[in-house]
Amino acid sequence: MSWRAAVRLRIGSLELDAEVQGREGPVAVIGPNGSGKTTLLRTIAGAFRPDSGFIEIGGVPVFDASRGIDLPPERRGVGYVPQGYGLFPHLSVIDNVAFPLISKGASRAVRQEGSRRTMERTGCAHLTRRATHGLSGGEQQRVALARALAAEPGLLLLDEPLAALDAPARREVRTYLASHLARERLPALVVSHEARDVRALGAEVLVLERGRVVQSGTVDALAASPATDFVAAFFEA
Amino acid sequence: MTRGGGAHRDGPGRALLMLAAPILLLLGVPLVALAVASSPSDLLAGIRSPVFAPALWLSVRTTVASVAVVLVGGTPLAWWLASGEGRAVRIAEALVDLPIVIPPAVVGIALLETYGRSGLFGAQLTALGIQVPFTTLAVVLAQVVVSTPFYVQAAAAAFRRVDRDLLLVARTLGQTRRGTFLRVALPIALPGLVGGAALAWARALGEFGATLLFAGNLPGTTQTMPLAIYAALESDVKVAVALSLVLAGASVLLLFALRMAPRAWSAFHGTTEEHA
Repeated sequence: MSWRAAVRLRIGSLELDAEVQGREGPVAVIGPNGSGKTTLLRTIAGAFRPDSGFIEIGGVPVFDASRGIDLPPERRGVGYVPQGYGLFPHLSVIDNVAFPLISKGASRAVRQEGSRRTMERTGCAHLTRRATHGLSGGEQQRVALARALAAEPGLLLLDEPLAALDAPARREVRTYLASHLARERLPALVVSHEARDVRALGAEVLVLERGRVVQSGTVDALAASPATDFVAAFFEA
Repeated sequence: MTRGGGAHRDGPGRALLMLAAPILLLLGVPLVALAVASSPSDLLAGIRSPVFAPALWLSVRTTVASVAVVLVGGTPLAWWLASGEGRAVRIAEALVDLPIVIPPAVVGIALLETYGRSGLFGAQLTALGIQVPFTTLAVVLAQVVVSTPFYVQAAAAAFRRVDRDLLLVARTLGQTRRGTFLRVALPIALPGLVGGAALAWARALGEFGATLLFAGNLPGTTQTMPLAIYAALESDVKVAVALSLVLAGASVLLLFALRMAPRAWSAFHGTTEEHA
């Protein structure tokens, strides 16, 4: 399983021109506010059409400007978890997790069984009977991840999965994310703004500034020789 | 966060209340006057008058038909207005607002100039043997034109409040555009759509000016409740008051339902403002 993307597009005042790739395991995207991190994720998910470039997930080209390929989001095999988790407020927890199976036309019994198994696998079986609005931030993140995994994506796109959590929940979800991403051996692109989170994920790091990749490599390599002030400050603490 | 708790120190002062009271009285007193104007026997006599039942029945039939048309045509329009951008959307938005600012009588004349014998489509309609003005169809057309803006504005606002990220998430979870609309956007926006539909229904129910000019005032065919009130006023004030009371009652019930529906909805679904 591998993925790569090289995209160029302009949205508002942002000019995104980035090349990223990864294999099994997480790649962390860091960068100042407005550097294009979320836009990069949403572009790979298919929300925007790049002016040029290509996106390949699990060996399948899902976008290629030169060949006129542009698969819609539902055929890209990506699992997107936005900031704020994106749980459907009108559905229960179990129906949220069963949602990808509805799309596949599974019967109700198959959906219930499949989502129950996914929730057990992702350690949130105890949340099955809960309503989405009563969940804590950490619980919402787990359910959102379970739902994304239920779709069996070739690439996970996580936008600031830890940002909205308080310190104890953050520690817990950080450990949870790291162990589950490692266990699922899934390629993932994770937007982050904390060095501790990036280290815990054991991720390769990609630094985005003003829409461009300014540095990439392991945490240790970046910390040892930061290319910009932002990278230096990021790993300082 | 808590509303309706103790008095806030920075809450409204007595002077503000004094300034606000006259307009409130202006709104409320006529309704009270209407309620006390007729005795129960007068009301009963009004309901038994030969004008009442046909007018009520016609109002029910035409408003149900026009709200159905508004829902079927207005929902895709509202979704397009909410999710689209650019010049075409802004022009369409202005067009949708027009019937609110244009006087109903003008709408009536405009409809006559469109579907009337000497109107824009007059020759074609006459050739097909179809007469629109002064028919029940004309009543429905007038109601649709004046009530559409109320539904479309409310529906577009409700659709705009649906988080764009939820729509992208639904797509990545395998739903097509259509599936995303039906399974995510529509259910989340539903309370807003219901509110807009109720407003549109109230506007259609009260429609008078455009109907009078475009459809006339023919008992059983085009004489809806408001037109029956107008007609009754010339012969028997008591009947007019009875009709008015029934119409006002229906509207107040509707308003009440409108106010309560979102609360009942969120109690049922457990959704709170956190998700709005």
